[in-house]
Amino acid sequence: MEQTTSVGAGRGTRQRPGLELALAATSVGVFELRPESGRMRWTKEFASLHGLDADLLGGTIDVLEARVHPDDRVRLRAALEDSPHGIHVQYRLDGSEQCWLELRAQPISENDSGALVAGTCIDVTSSARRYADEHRSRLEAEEALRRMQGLQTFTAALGEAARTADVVDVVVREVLVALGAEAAAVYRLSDDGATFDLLGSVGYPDELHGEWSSFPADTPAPASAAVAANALVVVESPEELVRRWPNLADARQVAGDAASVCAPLEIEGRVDGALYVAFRSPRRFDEDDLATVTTIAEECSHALERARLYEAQRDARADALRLARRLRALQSVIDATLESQSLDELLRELLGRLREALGTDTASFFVFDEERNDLVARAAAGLEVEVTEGVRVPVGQGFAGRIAAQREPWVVEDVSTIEIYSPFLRQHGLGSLAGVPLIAGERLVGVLDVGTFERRDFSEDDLLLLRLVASRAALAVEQAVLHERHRTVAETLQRSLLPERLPEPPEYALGARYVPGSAGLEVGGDWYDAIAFGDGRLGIVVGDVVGRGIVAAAAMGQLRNALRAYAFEGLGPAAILGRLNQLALEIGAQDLFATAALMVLDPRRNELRMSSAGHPPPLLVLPNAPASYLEGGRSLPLGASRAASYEEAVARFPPGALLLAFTDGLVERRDMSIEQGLERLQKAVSGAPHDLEGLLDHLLAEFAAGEHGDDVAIVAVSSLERPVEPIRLRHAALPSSLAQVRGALREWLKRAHARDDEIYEIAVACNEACTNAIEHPLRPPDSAFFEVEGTCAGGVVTLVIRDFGRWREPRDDGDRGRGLKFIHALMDSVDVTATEEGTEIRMRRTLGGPA
Amino acid sequence: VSDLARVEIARVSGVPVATVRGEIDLSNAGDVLQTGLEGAITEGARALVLDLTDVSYIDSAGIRALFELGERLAALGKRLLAVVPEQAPISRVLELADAPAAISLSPDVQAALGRLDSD
Repeated sequence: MEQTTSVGAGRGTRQRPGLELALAATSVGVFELRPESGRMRWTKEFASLHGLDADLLGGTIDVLEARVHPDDRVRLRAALEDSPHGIHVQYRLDGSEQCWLELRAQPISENDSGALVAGTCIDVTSSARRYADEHRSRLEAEEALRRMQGLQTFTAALGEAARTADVVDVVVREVLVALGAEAAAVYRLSDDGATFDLLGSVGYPDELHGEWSSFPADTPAPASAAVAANALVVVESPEELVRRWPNLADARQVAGDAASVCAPLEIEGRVDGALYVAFRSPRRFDEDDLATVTTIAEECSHALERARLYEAQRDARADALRLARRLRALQSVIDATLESQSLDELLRELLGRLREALGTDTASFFVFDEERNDLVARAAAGLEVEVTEGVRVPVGQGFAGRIAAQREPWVVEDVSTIEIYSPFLRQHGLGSLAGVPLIAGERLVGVLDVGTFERRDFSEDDLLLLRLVASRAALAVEQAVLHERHRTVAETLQRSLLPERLPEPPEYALGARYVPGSAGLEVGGDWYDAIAFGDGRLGIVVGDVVGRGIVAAAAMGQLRNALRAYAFEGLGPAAILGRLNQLALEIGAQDLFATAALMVLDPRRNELRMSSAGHPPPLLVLPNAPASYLEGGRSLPLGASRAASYEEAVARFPPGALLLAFTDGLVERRDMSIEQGLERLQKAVSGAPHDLEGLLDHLLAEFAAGEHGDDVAIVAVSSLERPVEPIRLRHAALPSSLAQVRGALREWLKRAHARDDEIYEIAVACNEACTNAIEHPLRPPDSAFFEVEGTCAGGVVTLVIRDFGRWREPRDDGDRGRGLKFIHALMDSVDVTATEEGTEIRMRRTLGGPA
Repeated sequence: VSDLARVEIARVSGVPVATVRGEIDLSNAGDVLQTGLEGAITEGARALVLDLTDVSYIDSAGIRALFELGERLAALGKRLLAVVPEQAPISRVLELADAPAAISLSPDVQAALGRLDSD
């Protein structure tokens, strides 16, 4: 090849045949350029070559550029502006794809006007075509190499793509690079073969994705054709596409596909997808192109299959993990039912765990009310207001109601499409709901549902878990409902057997407390009672039937009623317990065993008689004395032995005294012995408030607050101060007055609850003092009277007898002295004060002393 | 005799038995234990049985009168046999006055009569 001739030649170009060179030489245009200003001057030939006005032999780069093919303008301008290093550029003229000009130039000199570049321009159309051919073959060779290398990288990249999405991503990118394509997509046939589902694509506008993300497999299209024939489907122009698939005319407009190759994706003889490669301009595909597409499609098939297996494995592992998590959740739900709780606590716990396990926003439980044929919101997690407002849903209506009616699970993905009964459900705008009926045996127990604010597609798994939880929960709930009913019956029975109101005798104040045990669901058999006898006596009972539940409560009721009956027969405490023991043995076919203490308080005698059947001793606090336990009168528990004999003990119980009877629940605790408990109680009572209610509250707070296993019953009785109106008598100083004084005094002492013997003795003492007042004084005639004043406070009777004459020492014959002797013997204290005005005998006697 | 007490006199085996019912105090002691018994203290009788079983009250004046009655009968060579059951309300007062040392006390009329026979 020869060196091409050219003006200012320096750089070699491709060799040309002589004739061509000669022809070309005939139209050599010459130009000069001042790069700084962009100004140019050119010859007529130059103007002619460029189709410029031949009269204007000069212009600017802009003028020249305006004549050049738009695609080549940038290249030309870059070459001209880089002129200080010489110019060699080929370009086409505007409107001509085929005609090529070549421009060469060299910097010539620098003068005052700046740099100057000069060069030539020739038409190189014919040589350019050859050049282009050669260039293309070189590019093709390079392309072939690149494809090969590319395919290797592609295969490596595919090997690393584990997931379907990764595989598709690698494939479509590779297609663009390997084939110079502008768009690509991978479709997979759905499992049932009904649709092509888009796995991934590149180069298409978003609006196309919606329509073509999935389309029926029988839609006439290159993909369906490729799959049907299990062969490449090649389309080289838009016209061909529309001719073969008229239905795709519109889609083509949007997609802009002008040519395409579609390859089936085949694995193990099964065709289950297609690789679609598209170009924006018409194109003829050669063997290499098609071979490349086929290779990529094959690699793609294998990679997709691998990814499918990988994903199946991963899904299986995820399923296993999820299942394990759910099993744990389920276990926790079942565990929750094992704990001894109230039904409400149980349900709250259950719903909380269910909500967590399913990841829902709400979980609600409705109990079926058989009588009203509706559902009552009983417990909720997330929609507690339904419970607090006591929402009721008729069976057959709304969400839960329909589940109850049909006894079938129901999933509603879009709640707005169904009728909702609960106003709160509507108000809270739940998106999706899933619910199941709770059925124990054949019986509908209730409905369990879960809900989410965001719409959610509850899976078969979710529903399975919900059903599983519901069936387990149904049994637990059924059991709890029965248990609760059982407990309510027992509690009602027990409450009904405890006195509704305590008697209010004038001599005593009474208070009582009953606190059910906090542990366990069953009630105990503790009881207390207070019985007002007709004669003013008061019976106090505390008892404890061993065992719990309805049986214990019923036994307690029998004992209580029997005790009342025996008490009204007028029997004493020991005799009553003896009879109760016999009764307990008779009805005790179920091993009835009970402890009881019976105290009969006698206000007239200011004493109490007590008998105990193995019961903790009551605590007695006498006025101004420390608390002490009444240990006497104890015998065997009721029902223990036919041979048991019951003892009686007597204790003073004067006004101001306090009696505290209780069951062992008060003093028996896990963390201390009953002895320690009794000691603590003794101390606590000594420092407790004096009013009964305050005392009882204080004791409960100290002994029965918080966790206490057993029931607690306490009865407290205080013997009231018996304020009696003072008595004032004024009588003539005559012997006949004595009988009147005695009569009035006896009545008054009776009101002060003095015993008969006390009344007699005090009357004698008063009478003797009055006799003195009548017989002894030396008095003026107008003061022939005497006064008797009696007061009773704190169980002490004080009598003051006054006369109004001078005291005369009693004669010492013994008669008169005998009166004073009586007084001293019968009263606790006697003071005689004699003045000029008269004599005053003041004497005291404390009631309730030994008879 | 006042409203406070009544006296009935009878004879049992020839012995006069005076039964007093009610209360005896300063106001009626003389009436009951002196005047009221006049008819019972007869020549032939060696003793007077005084049944105080139904006396619900007696004071120091009554006891004084009782002692005086005993002294008067003794002066006549007669005995006073008082009947007071142990559980009687007045026994406490009689004890305080050392009555058992001064007069013969029997729990019932038969015992009092028996005491007369045994002597």
